[in-house]
Parts: sequence; C-alpha cells; structure tokens
Amino acid sequence: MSRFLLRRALWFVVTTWAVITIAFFVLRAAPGGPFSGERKLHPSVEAALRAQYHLDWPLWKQYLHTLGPLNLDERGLFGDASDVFGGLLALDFGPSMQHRDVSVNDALAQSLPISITLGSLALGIALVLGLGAALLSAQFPGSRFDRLVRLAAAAGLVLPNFVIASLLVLVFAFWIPIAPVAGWGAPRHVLLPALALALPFAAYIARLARAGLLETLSKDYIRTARAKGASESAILWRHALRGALTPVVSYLGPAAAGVLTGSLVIERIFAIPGAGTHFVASALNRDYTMAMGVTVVYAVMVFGFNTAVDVAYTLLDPRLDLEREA
Amino acid sequence: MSLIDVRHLRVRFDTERGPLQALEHVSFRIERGEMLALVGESGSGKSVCAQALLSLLPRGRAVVETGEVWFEGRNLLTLSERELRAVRGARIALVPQDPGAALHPLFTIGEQIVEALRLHQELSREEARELAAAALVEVGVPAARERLDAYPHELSGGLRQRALIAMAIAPRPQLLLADEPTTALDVTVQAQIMELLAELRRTRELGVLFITHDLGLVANYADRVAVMYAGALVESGPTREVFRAPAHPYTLGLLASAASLGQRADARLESIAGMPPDPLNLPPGCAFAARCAFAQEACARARPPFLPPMGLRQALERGVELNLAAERRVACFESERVVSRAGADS
Amino acid sequence: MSAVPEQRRSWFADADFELALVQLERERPQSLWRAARERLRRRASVRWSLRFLIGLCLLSFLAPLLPLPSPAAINLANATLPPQLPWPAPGALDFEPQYWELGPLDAQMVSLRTSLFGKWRTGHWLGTDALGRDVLARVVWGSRTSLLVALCAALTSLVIGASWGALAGLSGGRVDNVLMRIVDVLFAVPTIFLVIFLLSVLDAPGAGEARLSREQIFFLVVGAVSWLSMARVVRGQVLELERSAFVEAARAAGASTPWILTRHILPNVLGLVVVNLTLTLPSVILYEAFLSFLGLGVEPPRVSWGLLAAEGAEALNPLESYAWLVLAPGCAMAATLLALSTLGDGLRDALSVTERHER
Ligand SMILES: Nc1ncnc2c1ncn2[C@@H]1O[C@H](COP(=O)(O)OP(=O)(O)O)[C@@H](O)[C@H]1O
Ligand SMILES: [Mg+2]
Repeated sequence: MSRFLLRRALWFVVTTWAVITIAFFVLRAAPGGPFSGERKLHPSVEAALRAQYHLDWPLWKQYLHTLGPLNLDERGLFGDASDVFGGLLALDFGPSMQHRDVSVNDALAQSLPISITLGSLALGIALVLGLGAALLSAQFPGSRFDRLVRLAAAAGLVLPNFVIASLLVLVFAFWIPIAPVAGWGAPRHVLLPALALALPFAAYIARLARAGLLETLSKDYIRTARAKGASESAILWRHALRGALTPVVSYLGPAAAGVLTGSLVIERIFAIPGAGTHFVASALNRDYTMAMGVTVVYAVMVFGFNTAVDVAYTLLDPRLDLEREA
Repeated sequence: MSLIDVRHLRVRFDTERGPLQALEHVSFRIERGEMLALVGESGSGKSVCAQALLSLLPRGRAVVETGEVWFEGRNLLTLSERELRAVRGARIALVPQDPGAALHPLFTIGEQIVEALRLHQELSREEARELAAAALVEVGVPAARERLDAYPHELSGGLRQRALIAMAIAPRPQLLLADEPTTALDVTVQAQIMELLAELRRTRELGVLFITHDLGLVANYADRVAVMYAGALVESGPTREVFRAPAHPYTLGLLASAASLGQRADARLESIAGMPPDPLNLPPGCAFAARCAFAQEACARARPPFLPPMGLRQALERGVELNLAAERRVACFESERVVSRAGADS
Repeated sequence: MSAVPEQRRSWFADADFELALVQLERERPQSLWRAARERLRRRASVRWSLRFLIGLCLLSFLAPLLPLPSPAAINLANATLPPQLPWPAPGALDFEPQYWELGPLDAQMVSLRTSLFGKWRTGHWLGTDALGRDVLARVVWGSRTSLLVALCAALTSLVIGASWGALAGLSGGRVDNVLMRIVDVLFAVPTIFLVIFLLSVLDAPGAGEARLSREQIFFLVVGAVSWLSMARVVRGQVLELERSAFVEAARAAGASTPWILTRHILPNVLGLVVVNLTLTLPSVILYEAFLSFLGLGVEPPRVSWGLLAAEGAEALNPLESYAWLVLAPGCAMAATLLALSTLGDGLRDALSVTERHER
C-alpha cells in the first residue's frame, strides 16, 4: 500500500506538471491577452500593466515565474532577489489579472468550499439514490418498481443538467413552492441545486448498480450461497452488493470530475458564489493566473479523488494488487 | 424408505433460441449411506439434475415441468422458500461443480464456511471457526488455520475444491450432492476424499450423489451407477452389474473408451465418435441413435422406455410381466444385442 | 474440434477450451452479425427508436422545405406566446424568408419552399420566444445543428480514440504504457479549458481565408476532447480478446496472426466500437448543450437544441415561468437521446452473443 501511494505521489507530480505546462502554453497560445478586453486601454497604461505582471518577459521566463519561487528579475535567472515571487511550488497563484485587487488564492479560498460542499452533497445524494433504487429494483426484477427505476434512470441521462434544474425550479419553486430559487447560506438553499446536480449521476449509478447486481446474482457463487441455505435478502445485501459495488466505485472518479463541471452550470442557474464562475470567466478573459489556479485545483482534485477510489477499490476487492497495478 | 426418491423429473430451460429440454423423466433413489454415481458427457444434464433437487435452478429461465423429490417425508419441489432454506446446506448439501467460480471471490474461505455453519446452528463466531478449521483438516487441507483467512484466488484449484467439500460437510448433512468434486484434485488427494466420503457414509449414514467423469472412481467406490445422456437416464443399476454387462450402447462406449485409455484418472468421456445432439432440438427417437453402432430403423422413430433390460421385448413377445421394481434399468430397444456383444468382447 | 492437430489435443483438458473450440467452428463472425440483426429486429423498443431516429433525420434534413415560419424572424408583437391547443389552423400568410447565411443546398431548398408554399406558414404551434420567434421552427432547425455536431464529433472521437486504443492494445509493452499515460494526463486536464482555447485559437480573426465556420470548429473540438474514453475502451477490449480462450484456441489450432486479427479481433472490437459510438452520440449532444449554456456553442442567430434549452432556462424568472421555452427543446432532446441510448443498449445486448452463450 505504501509503495502504491509513493508511486502515486510520483505520478501526481508528473501529472500536475504536465497539466500546468499544457495549461500555460495553451493559455499563452490563445489569441488576445488579459488586457485586450472590451475597454480599450491607453497603450501606455497597458504597457505598464503588462510590465507589472511580467507579461513583457520572454515566455520561458514567464513559465519559470509561474512554476515556482524563483529568484528572477529583469536581467533573468539568478537576479538580485528583487522579485522572488510565490509561484505554484509555493502554492501561490499570484494576483488575478482581471480583478486586480484580489489574489487568486483568496478568490479560491472563498469560493472553493462552497463548490466542494455542493459537489460532495450531490455525490452523496447520487450514491444513496442510485444504490437504493438499484437494490430495490434488483430484488424484484421486472416488477413495476423496477420498470419505474429504469425509466427514471433513462430520463436522468437524457437531459442536460440545466434542463433538469429548470424543471426542478418549475416544480418546486413555482408550482409547489417549497424551496428558494436562488441564493446561498441557509441549508434550504442547497436542496434544489444539489438535487439538480445529483440526478444525472444518480441515474447512471442506478443503472450501473442494477446491471452489476443482476450480473452478480447470476454468478455461480451466488448459487453456492443459496445452496448453503442463505436467505434472499442476505444474498442480495451480503453476497451480491459487494460485487456490484466495484463498477460503481470505479465510476466515482469520472463522476467527481463530472460533478465539478456540472457545478459550473448549476452554480450559475442558482446564483451560487462557487468557484465555477471563475472557470469560464478566467478562460474567456485570459486571466492567466486565475485560469492557472482553477486548472491546477481541478487537476489535483480529480487526481486525489481517483487515488482515493483506487484505494477503496482494493479494500472492496482483495484480488486487486495495488503494488502491481501501480 | 429411501433417503431420497426422485421421480420423473423434467426440466426445461427457456432460452433465447427456444425451449431446451435439460432433464427428461429422470428417476432415481439413494438409500442411507449409499453412493450413487451419475456419469455422462459434459452438457448431458448432471449438474442441472443436482441443482433441481434443491430448487437452485435460475428462476424464470428454468421450469420444472413434472417431478417429485421425496426427502424425509416431504416433496422438496412443493416446499416454500423458507422451508427449503432449512433443508439446503443443513440436510442436503451441494458441492458445486467449478471450484474457480463457485466460491465468492470477495470473502475469505473461513468467512464462507463459517456462514454455512452459522446459517443452521446456534454457534458463536469462534466456535464456527473452530469447526471450519476442523472441516478443512478433514478434507486434507494442510495448514488449515492459515487457510481460513485466505481468499479463494490465493488458493490452488485443488485447495478450493477441498474448501468447497469442507463447506458442504461441515454442517453435517444427510445427503451430499457432489458435482464433480474431484476433477481438480491429484490422485492421492482424490483417494483421500473418497475415503473420507466412505467413512462418512459408514459413520453418519451419509448418502452421496457422486457426479463424475472418472469411471475408475465409480468402479471402486460407488454402490450404484446411473448413466445420463442428453438429459435422460439411459442405464442404471449396481455398479458391478453395469460395468460387467452394460446394456446400453452408450455405456458400452464409455467403458470401452475408459479401458482403452488405460483407466487414466482424467479419462474423458467425449471420445465416443460423433457429437452429442443439439439440446435445442433433440431427435424424436433415441437421442443416441445417430452415434450408435446398434441402431435400427425403429430407434430413430420412438424414444425407448427406461425399463429392466430385455424386459420390453420379453413383455411384448412372451407376455411376461415387467419387473418394475428391478434396480437394473436401461433405455434401449437393442439392449439384448448390446449385452451379448459386450459379453462376447470381454 | 477437427481444427486441432492431434498432438495438441492432450492439453485441452479444460472444458472451457473445448467449448471455445466448438464455438470457433459454430459461431463465425458473419453469423454473429446476422444473429445480432435478428435479435435487434425482435425488440420493439429498438424498432421504434430506429424509426424515430430515421424520421428525425429526415425532418431535420428537410427543414428548409417545410412550411414553417422562419426560425430567425423576429416579431416583438408576438413575443412569448404560449403554445395553443387546439393548434390553430395554419392560416397566416406572412412568411418572410429570414435566415442566417445558408449553404447552397439549404438555400435551394428554401427557394423551393417559397415556390411551393408561397407566404403560407404554420401557426405558432409550440408558442414563441421572447423575441417572437417561432419555437417549433427553431426546434426543427436546431435539430440540424445538434445532430450534425453529434455525428461529426462522434466520428472524430472514433477515428482518434479507436486508432489510439487499438495501437496501444496491439503493440503492448512500452508503447502501450506511454500511450495510456498520455490519456491519463489528458483526463486530468479540464476539457472545458481545452474547448475554450481551441475554439478561440481556431476562431481567431487572424486565421484568414482558411477559417473554418464556428460549427466546423465546434465539431472538431468536441470530438477532440471526447476520444479519451473510446481509446480506453478499445484498448481494453483488444487486450481482453487477445487473452480470451477463443483466440488462444485459434492460435493453438495454428491460425496466423492476420487471420486472428481479421476473423476474431476486428469483428468483436467493431461491435464494441459501434456500441460505444451510439452511446457517445448522446453524451456529445449533452456536451453541446453544456457549452451552449456557457455561451460557447453555436452563434446566434443560428440555433441548436442546447442553445434553445439554455435560453429557455435563462428565461425562467420568479414572475413568469415560460415553461414551454425549456420544455420544447428539452423534450426533443430527451426523446432523441432516449432513442439513441435504447438503440445503443439494444446493439450491445445483441452483439454480446458470445458472452451470453450459456454452458
Ligand atoms: N442457466 C441455463 N440456461 C440455459 N441452459 C442451461 C443452463 N444451465 C444449463 N443449461 C443447459 O442444460 C444442459 C445440461 O447442462 P449441465 O447440467 O450443466 O451439464 P453437465 O452434465 O455437464 O453438468 C446443457 O445443454 C446446458 O446448455
Ligand atoms: Mg456439470
């Protein structure tokens, strides 16, 4: 296990570096810059701004500057230590180029917890709803409930989440007003957005788990359990569920990434001040520092979640050998 | 009264390609302490037969069309799910076929044997573990205590098979349905298991349905033998009699091929010329006719009944009463010729 | 079993192996596809999905010919009319051809429509939007973008993903390792960034003559970011097949590598690819909607389902719900995606004959 984690850590460094590099060069390659926005700035003002953010430096130097706490100045590497800037290695993303009085770190510190709360809540709801539906439906395959679950699961997968959100708003805010339409703060604010975010994933989990349960139930070892005299509920909960859980767990990695992207939309619809807004705005406005910040945060979260999933996987399935898989 | 009495069991699978007759009027009995061997090619329906006795066939796909399974005064096919659970494992235990697939991959051997025990007996976890370890020792697993904490994938095929046998005998059943329990074992362990079963038959009066391909083991250990072909029994009787004078051409072929292979432990039964019929469309007459050296025209038209050898012809020609209580039975119109031919050969 | 040389027979002690050999003889790939077609035909849900999809494709291709109002014709006097039931008779005679820049074929169809129906047009059966544009016409025209995006992007992802995965799976070893690591890294990059940047790079004003249209760029970009899972799936299947009893048996019987490739691996992978493709289509349509919602989709006045649904979702406000604006494109999308995934599931079930073969 520790060997596995060590190798993972190594991969983490490599992946993050690769993501940073890709993001850096893609960002700079895109036409336009942070100060070529709507308001046309006076050339001298723009030049001053570019100098302030070192955008007048050669690209390699900007790259090193972004990467880490390096001693740089006008003359190049190993300068006179007048510009030892934070950089990614020091976990300092620098000031936002769009909102010049805010640092990227502060902006993320403020908005990320909100997004994470929303996201983990949504994942939790998706798991509970999806697994619950699958268990009930696999217990009575072909029953009316089973058909309902399959229909709902199909419906959850064919609508974009903002349409689901709109439908929820229509139903629960207009027609049966029990939840607020927008805002953040009170627990009741979380209900609709988390549900809207969760439903597509709940649908997919229900499908996966149902198929997994039905497949596991047809295995030879289930017959062995029956031959021992185990009851149907014991077979479902004890013998079948564990086998069916593995595809669900391995789906959690992509699901977490999906929830992150999905929250971009949901936060916008429900006016939630999460990190999602920064995602799109920073990329569109060429806010280099902010875009780099959200990219790195995203990659780290996806990577961390996938590692956690892999660990959970081996706990579930003794046949997997992390040492070898790594 | 017999330990188990199976009468006219007919099982059909509803498959995507149409109905499949897996068992056709299968009847047999096993007495207390007796071992009945069930032999036949792969796909002939042996496993289906064992599973049908405990209603373990996949629901919805498999239909038990007719049949009675009398055990301890009750017809098992009419019991409720709840009553069945009390029989499964506790009174009748199954040693499933494929040891690679029949153990749950995510639980340790110990957990699985302990579960089998605790389902039927009031035992603490520790007591059950003790019994499980003892059962593993009984089936000849070395270092039994450590094996309790092993997962199936960490064991060899032979060890898994022994774990399955241990799991079946640990709750002390009265009848054991052992589906090819020795295929993954080497010869010495095979003998050890067979001796263990023989001892259990003596001490606990355990009845055994022994499904196997190994005619050598059958000859040495089974009291009686039943031969299955394409879902139907084609011959049954005391092992010695059947082996001395087989009355069905299929049995004859089996014995001949086993003999020509020098009674090798893994003597395969497939070495009779030709392929078994497609179970999805069995011929109207005798299912073996297409591969049979003795076949006459009539064989392809009607299914031969399962009767005492030579009984039918005698009954028809001489008006003799059929001895329906006879143990020796065969399903062949030409059994007389088969018996004389076999006698001439040896 | 006759395919096995005598001296090899001894080590087929395994019943699985013999079954695989029998299958080898019985289940030729051709009959696999034929059996699949039979199974598909027997499923009513698949039949209906197929009919629906064919109808939809026809409808969207022929949209310029239909006597619909112009999807871009603004009429503020008619803003936010709700759908009316029963549908008003198509009485209005005020059709004015107002479109964005159309391709030559579409322009021809529009002129044919004008000569066929004149100024005659259908009523606002599904209501109108905030600018008084006809929702039905917009949904029908929107289907063209959405379906085209889905097809092109899915094909792009197919070409890149399948060849990447097949290369990795077939070459194995170091090459496999490197190729799949690249996929891993790319999975960790938020695709939305790549999309935004690819869009802005390709769409840059400086790109001059060779400039692709926004839709074409869009197809490429969406395809380019969605090939990753296809690569993984294809590689996994290739590896699994190489190890399967099937292929091992063929190899033992003395079959050559190209024979195994064309007879066993290709047909089986092909099935999987087709299945994955039908399941990629819905996700691409959803992705288009997602991008439209973020304002990165097709440019107005052009329409797509995603754009319509996004407009509808934005139009919801605390005072007035305008439900039809979101329901109309939502239902169109839902029906199409449902049909696609039903078809995909049906294909998957139908093609996995060998897996389901009972012993
Ligand atoms: N679950 C099932 N569904 C359909 N057919 C089955 C099923 N299980 C067994 N069969 C069929 O029943 C017949 C007998 O199989 P089986 O009892 O396993 O043979 P064996 O004698 O080798 O144990 C075979 O033709 C097999 O295809
Ligand atoms: Mg069997």
